[in-house]
Parts: sequence; structure tokens; C-alpha cells
Amino acid sequence: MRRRNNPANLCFVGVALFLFFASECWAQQPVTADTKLTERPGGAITGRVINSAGEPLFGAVAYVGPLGSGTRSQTTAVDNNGEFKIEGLEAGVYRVSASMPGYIPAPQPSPTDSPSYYHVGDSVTVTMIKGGVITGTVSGANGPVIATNVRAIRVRDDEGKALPYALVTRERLTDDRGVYRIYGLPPGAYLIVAGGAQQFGGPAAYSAYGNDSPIYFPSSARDTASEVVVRNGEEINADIQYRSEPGHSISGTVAGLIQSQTQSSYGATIGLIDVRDRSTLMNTSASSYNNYAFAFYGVPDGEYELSASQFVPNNSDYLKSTPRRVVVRGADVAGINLTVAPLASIAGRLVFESDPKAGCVKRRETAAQETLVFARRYEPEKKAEVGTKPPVAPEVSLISTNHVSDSVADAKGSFTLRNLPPGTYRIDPRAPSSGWYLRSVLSGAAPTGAARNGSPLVARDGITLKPGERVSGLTVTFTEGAASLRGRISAPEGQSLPPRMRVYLVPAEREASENVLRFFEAAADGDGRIALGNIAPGRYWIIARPAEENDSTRVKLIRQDSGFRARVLHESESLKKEISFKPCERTADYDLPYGPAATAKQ
Amino acid sequence: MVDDIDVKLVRGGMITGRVTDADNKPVVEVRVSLQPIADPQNPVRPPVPYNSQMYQTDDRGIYRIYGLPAGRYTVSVGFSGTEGILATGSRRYYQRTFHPDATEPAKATIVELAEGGEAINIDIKVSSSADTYSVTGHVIDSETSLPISGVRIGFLTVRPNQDRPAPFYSGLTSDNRGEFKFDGFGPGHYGAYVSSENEGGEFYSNPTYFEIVDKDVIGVELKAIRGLSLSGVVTIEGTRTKDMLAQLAGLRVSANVMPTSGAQINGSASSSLAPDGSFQINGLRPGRVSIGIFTSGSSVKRPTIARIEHDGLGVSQGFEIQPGRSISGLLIVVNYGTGTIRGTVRFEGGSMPIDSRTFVSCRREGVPYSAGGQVDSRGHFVINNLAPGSYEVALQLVFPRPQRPIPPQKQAVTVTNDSESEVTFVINLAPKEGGP
Repeated sequence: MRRRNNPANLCFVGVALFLFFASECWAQQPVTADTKLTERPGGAITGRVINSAGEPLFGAVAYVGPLGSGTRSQTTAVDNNGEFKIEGLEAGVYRVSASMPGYIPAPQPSPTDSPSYYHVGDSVTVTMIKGGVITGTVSGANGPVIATNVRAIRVRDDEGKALPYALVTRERLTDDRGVYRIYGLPPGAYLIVAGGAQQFGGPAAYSAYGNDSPIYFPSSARDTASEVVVRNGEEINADIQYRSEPGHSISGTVAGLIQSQTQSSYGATIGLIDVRDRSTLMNTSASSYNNYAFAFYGVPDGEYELSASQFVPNNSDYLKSTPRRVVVRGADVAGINLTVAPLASIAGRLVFESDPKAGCVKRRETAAQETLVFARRYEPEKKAEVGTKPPVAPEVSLISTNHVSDSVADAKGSFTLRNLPPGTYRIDPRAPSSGWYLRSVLSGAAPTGAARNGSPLVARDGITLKPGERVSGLTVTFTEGAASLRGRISAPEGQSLPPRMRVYLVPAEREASENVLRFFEAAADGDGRIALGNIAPGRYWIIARPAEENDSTRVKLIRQDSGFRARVLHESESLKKEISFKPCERTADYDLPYGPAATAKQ
Repeated sequence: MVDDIDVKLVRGGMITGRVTDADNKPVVEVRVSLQPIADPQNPVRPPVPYNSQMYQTDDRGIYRIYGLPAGRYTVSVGFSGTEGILATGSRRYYQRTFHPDATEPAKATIVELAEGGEAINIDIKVSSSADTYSVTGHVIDSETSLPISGVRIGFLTVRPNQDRPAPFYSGLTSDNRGEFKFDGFGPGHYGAYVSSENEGGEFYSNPTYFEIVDKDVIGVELKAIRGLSLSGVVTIEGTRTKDMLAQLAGLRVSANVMPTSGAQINGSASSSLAPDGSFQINGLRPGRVSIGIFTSGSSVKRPTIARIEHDGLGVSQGFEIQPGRSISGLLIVVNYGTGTIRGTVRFEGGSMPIDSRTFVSCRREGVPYSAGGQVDSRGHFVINNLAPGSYEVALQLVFPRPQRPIPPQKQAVTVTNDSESEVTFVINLAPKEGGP
């Protein structure tokens, strides 16, 4: 044990000349054979934080966080130009975001509804907006309603499209005049709710209204609530006439929880979801201290889904219960017993096929740990095959029907997608850099020896998981030599493009028409600009057309929907606009006409 | 006997204003501090209200704090430089500025608030913000010098006029290279240490001190020492072996350690019992140990420690555990109380309103927690599983509507194992002569 007067320790005082002393200190440390002071990795991510006018946001803080485990997320303040640089990063996949009081991230027009991910060496521009404000007075029979919680539930996006499930903003309390103010709202349409239990945990202020049913703007139950539309920079007034409505209770118990050895056991969280708009009304918890019982109070009449989940920190696993539907109609509901069980997982590995002749891949050695793999749940098309029963849709929570899990591979290329509710999943790997294209996604034999139902062609048919099923042996293969395309869809003379245009590439070679990995698509931006990457070399037909949606307001994806795929193939075959890609070829400034002029052969 | 305690609810006062910076832009989401100025003629100050959301400025820089007692206040935002850790995350901070724009308390304008009064336009103008700084360091095993990942890092703020620096919980752990980084420090003197507070720490360290002047600090090295352990056996007094095994399950032993010198860093850890009653608590710092026993999960049983022995000799709580010297062979003797308090509550000169409820609680001398329950509709109650000792039994009456208050009712009673102690409360509800 060293004494404190040791010269090495004195180095940690006296910051002004610190860097000079530091080099001296390291030289003085006794270097044993075991001393490991590993070199810092040299990767950096740089960027800028700006507002919607493009001006730098001084005072913002940028966050760069790695996906996968191990290294911590890093933060740094931006400089006078709104710029930041975070160094010392290992190869991997990163999320980049920023925060600034009074600002929110600008909505991303992302075709796959997922945030952007970055690699070491990328430069990121983060745009922030102030958002909208909804404010108003909550008054009841006896005057203003003070210190009651109000929250805004986003039910439509900024284009008016209904969200697959509603998102609740943070709660704000009314002041002594009954006035509430919710700021920093992403543009869209909202329901405003006052009163009722706090969303999470205990009360922020003791309120006489804690056990009431919530009241929706302007003064109603959920059925007749009005939506409030707010745009960026707008302030909208929404006064609420409050009534004290008692509501009813839903109670029960949770079973199947994992006990812990070292601590008192982890509890479970139970969510109460309104079936109609798929918003979470309340959460509560159950633990050993109350014999795993739970109760919701002040629940208005309606149809709900309850589901319980437990998070186990040691291995970041979730256990979830099969969701239960409960109808509250004028009476308390008791005896709802939920049992949590482990979720499913898919393990696999990445294979990278290099092609030295092509030679357009950067950072070959770190390709594995820079690859992010997604598993996306979807409802497969019902195939009416003779003699087989139609697949029974497994029961998952309303908010899990489009569940996504992700995993970053390790240096050896292994990845595990965890915590998957039962259902059918598409495996969507993201190439680590522009030079790779996805050649195949195949499932091998199950380790248990039982034959897997379902095809090995995971790219076309997806993987279907039973509750808690553990699948392994998935192989994702990337090949070097991808091409890319940048260009613009042009409208006919004097006309503008319809909204939500997309570009599609379909294989021109007959024998490739069954290979879904030869079909590509991307959304055009507001000006018709398109960018497609990681394209497998070959001959294609290209077509620009408006997106199509299925009934759940999700865009039809050409790799997932065989009927849509056949139609687009047929349309582009008639159009006969062909394009070829050689390995590593980059095409820029490509003009893609849309409309009647497009049928004229070039 | 104390009576005629009236609870008067008065309307609170309100203070509101706007916080702007040197460019007249709103300062968003900063905390506003109210400092009541002590009044020599009325020294008792009621507590300041509970709602924390109203102490923060909104997107317009406006704050509105209500429900305040009458009095004189200064209103300020920001931090003085010597306050230490200012923010989580590398935010800039504002120097402490009082309404309207004073950086010294003496120059602050005092806000006078009458009962139920309103003070508006209590605006604050701050000057430009200053940087906070970060500290980067690493943790190595003091014996092998290898980096250790996953240990919790704690920080201390060394304040000029205090002997014992105050710990600050950072929630930080060393990463897979044994490194850590924390942002948000203002200029000052600090210490960093490996924390084994709460459950699960295997290591501890003495603090490494550093100073922040005007730059980030790097290279802070923490040498982690393997925690000490306490081990031994728990037995239950006076029960047969086969009953004991059932009772031991669900018990946990905890150790709380207070340092004998140096920084005020407490440690605690606990352990469950093996089927034979043996236990081992790891990851402890040196210092004075207090042992506790509790049941995990819900249970009405209340175990208490009758005595602790080591090598046949009695050991008192607060025994010392020294650096490098774990202690084994402890014997902890536990008993379960089997005493009972049985009682009756009678009301005379009136009756309690429907919807009112009566609760009873009892607390043993020298023990911080109490037991109790609700008195039934006939006025009876029973409290079981009490350890022997002297107790104070108290009633709590809860009314559905504001009411003339009843003075607190307490009685002392002695409890012994395997017997019932009786207590009776008689409460006079008749209104007093010449009352309000």
C-alpha cells in the first residue's frame, strides 16, 4: 500500500501543468509484466448541432453512445460553431443525439422508422427544433384544479397519419391558477388528459385527484375526446373542464418472476394499455413485498390490455406475460393473474466474402463489429396451401406487433437478437460500409436436432418464433463489390411529384426474380432526390412510383410482400427502364422520369 | 395534556418572474432557489412546499412558485463556484445570480410576500455561462495493478470549512477497460473513490484527491482494495432444530460500516443464509460495524438480535473491522418475538364520524421502526410477534373531513415473550366549555 506522499500521487494535484506532469508520472510508475495500459483507440465521430434555420446551437450537448455492451456513452458540449468531436472510439455502431433545454430532435423522415446509426469516422448533423406548446386551464366545479397532472398523448404524426401506437409525453402539473403548459412537443395531433394516477411511480405532488379517472380535453371520456393539432413553433390553447369521476379498479397477481440471490427480488411492471389507441394509460408494479399483487385504480370504462414484464439486469433479459384483455363496464375487475415467461432469441453469425478484384471495402478488419442486425416483427401473408392449417397468429401485446430488436456483432461476427415476442420476423442486417451487399440470410439446422418448420430462406420467408424459442445457426453473408446510385425523380413538364415517392430496383435476369435480396427500394425526399446503396451487381429495371400502404398504415415492403413484389416487377418490365451495376460502381446524378413521359423508351 | 390544536389552512403566497441571459434570451429549465430570510421576531419557519416542478423555468424562462408562507425571500438561479458537482452531463452553468441581477447576496433585492400575496415580475438576468469540466480516470487492483471493470465510482466534494468531505452519488461504473469519466464539475477540490456502498461492491478504495481549476482533469488513478468479509452462523434462540431451519430461510444478515476516520463514506452489504444458517457478507470497508437482521419478502415475523458472539466472547454492535483483516466465526443469536399487545379504544361523550378510521402503532425503545395496524369497528386491536421490551403505543385518528382535532394518545406498556399485555384507551369526544 503506497503512502500518500509518494511522488506519483502528487501528480494528481495542480491541474494547470497537469499534462506535463502526466507524462512524467507514467514514466515513474513501476512497470511490471502485468501492467496493461492499453492504447486508446483512435476513432472519432464529429458533427454539428443546429436549429431548423441552420444556425449553430451553442450550449447543446452531444451524446455518442455505442450499441452493444461495454463502453460507456460519451457526452461533450458543442463549441461556438455548434460543432463537436468525440474521440477515443472503438470500431462499432453508434447512436448520436443531442440535447438542449427547450429543444427536441427534429422529426426524421426515415423510411424504416428507425433512428440513424453511425460508425467511427462519420460526421453527423443533428437538427433540433423547439417543437410546439399546448397550454390551458383545467377548471372544475369549485374553480381551478391545482397541482393535477396533465399529459399529452401523440396520436398522429406531422403529416396527420395515425401512429401505430400512441406516445405519451412527460407529465406537467397545473399551477395555482389551474394552468398547465406542455412544451417541446413534436409536431402532430394530441389528446390532452388531466387527472388520474401518475404515469410512473409515486405522486410528484399529493393531489386530491389521484384516484379519479382521467378526463380528456375538452371535458370527456376517451370516446368523445378532441384531438389538438400543433405544429413546430406554435402555441395552442386547450382548456379542460374537469369532473371527478371515480372509475374502477383492475387487480390481480403476477407469477413466474425470477428471484435474485444477492438482492431482494426484482419486481415486475404491469402496463395498462387502452386497446383503441394503443396508448399506455398507467403502469404499476408488483414485488415480493406485496406478494406480487397489483392494482390499477381510477380506470374509466373501456377495453384494455394488461401485460406484465420483468427486467433482469444481469443479462439484460426481459420476461413478459401473454397479454390479457379486460373490459371495464361499471364494476371492478379482480383476479387477473399474469404469468411472465422468457422471450425468444435468434443467434447467428456474419460471414464476409471479400473480393480483392473489386476492392471497394473500407475497414475490412472491423466489418463485423460495425454491423448492426435488426429483427423486425411483421404479419406474414396468409398462404392458402392445400392441406395445411393457416398459421394461428400468436398473442402479443398491441404495442409489440411491430417489435424490433437489434444486435451488434462481436469481433468474431456472432450476434444474438434477444427479447423477441413470438411471431414472424424479418432479419434486416445493415452493411457496415458501402462496399458490401447482402448475399444471403439462411437458417441452419436447430441445435436441438428437431427439424425446424419453415424454410431456410429467411430473407424471403422470415423466421417464425414460438414463445420463448431459442433459435441459433442463422448465417448472414455479405459480399464485397456493392454499387450505389444517387439521382432524382423528375416530374413531367409543369407537374409536381405526388407525395411519398419511392424508387424500386427489380432484377432483370429471369432467374433472379425469386431472390428477394435482388430487390431494392428507397424513399425519395421532398425534392425527389433518391439514394440507394449496397446494391448487388447485375442488371435491373428501375421504376419510380408512389408508396403503397397496407391497412395498418405501414408502407408495403418489396422484400416482404410477394403480391406487391410481383406487381412492381410487372410494371417495371413493361416500362423497360434498365440500369446495370458493375461491382463497386458509383452512379451519381441519375435522372429517373416519372409519369407518362416515362413510358417513352430512352 | 394539550388541546385546542386548530389547523388553519391559509392561502399561500406566489412569486413569479422570468430568467433571461445577457442576450435577452430565456434561460430554460434552470432551478430557481428561494432563500427565506430569517425573521428574528418570528423564528419558527414553516417548511417550504413540496412540488419540485414549479421550481424550474419553462421554455419561456418563466417560473411560478406558489403556496408559500408569508415572509421575506431572496430569489436566485445558478451555482456558486465552490459548490462542486454542478450538473450531470457537460452542461454549462450560470454563476449564482439573485433577483434582479446581483451576483452577491448583499446586493440582492428582497422580495416581501404577504400572506396570500403575489409578487410578480421577479425577474433575474444572468451573465454569460461558464464551463463545467470533466474528470477521467481508471481503476486498478491494488495487488495486481490490472484494470478492473464494473466497479462503482463515488465522488467527494471537499468544502473549505468542513473536516469531512461529503460524498456524491454518481451512478458511474468503470467500463470494460477499467476507465471512467464524469462531467459537470465546477472549479474546486474533489476526491474520487471506489464505492462499495449498497449491495454488490466487491472492492473499495481510499479517495484520490484532485483539483479542478480551468481544465478537464485526466489520469485519476484509483487503487481498488478487495473488500473485507464477515462470516459466521445465525441461530435462533429457544427453538428446536427442525423448526429453526424453516425459520432461517428468508432471513438476511446486513452489515453497516461507518468509517473511523477519513471521508464519511459508509458501506453496507447483506447476505442471505445457507440452509445451515451460515452467512458471508463481502465487500466491506474497514470501520465500525452494526449488524442487522431482517426478513426478505413480506412476513409478519420480526426477528431481533439477542446477542452477537465471537470466539465465545460477547461482541457489542459497533465492533471494529480493520484493513486486511476479515472476521470469521461470528455467532449471531436471533429471537423472534412472541409477545402480544391486545387493546381496546373507547370513545366517551360522543361518537366518531362514519368513515373515520383509527390506527394504532407501537414502537420498542431503542428501535427505529414500529409495528401496528387498524383498530376494528368494535374498538379492538391485536399486535403480534413482538420482541420483549418496553413499548410506546400510540393512536392515530383519521377523519374524512376537517374536524376539531383530538390530542395525541399514547401509553407505555411492557411486553414479554409468550404473553399478552393489555392496554385501554379512553377518549373524551365531548366539546370543551367555551370552545370555538
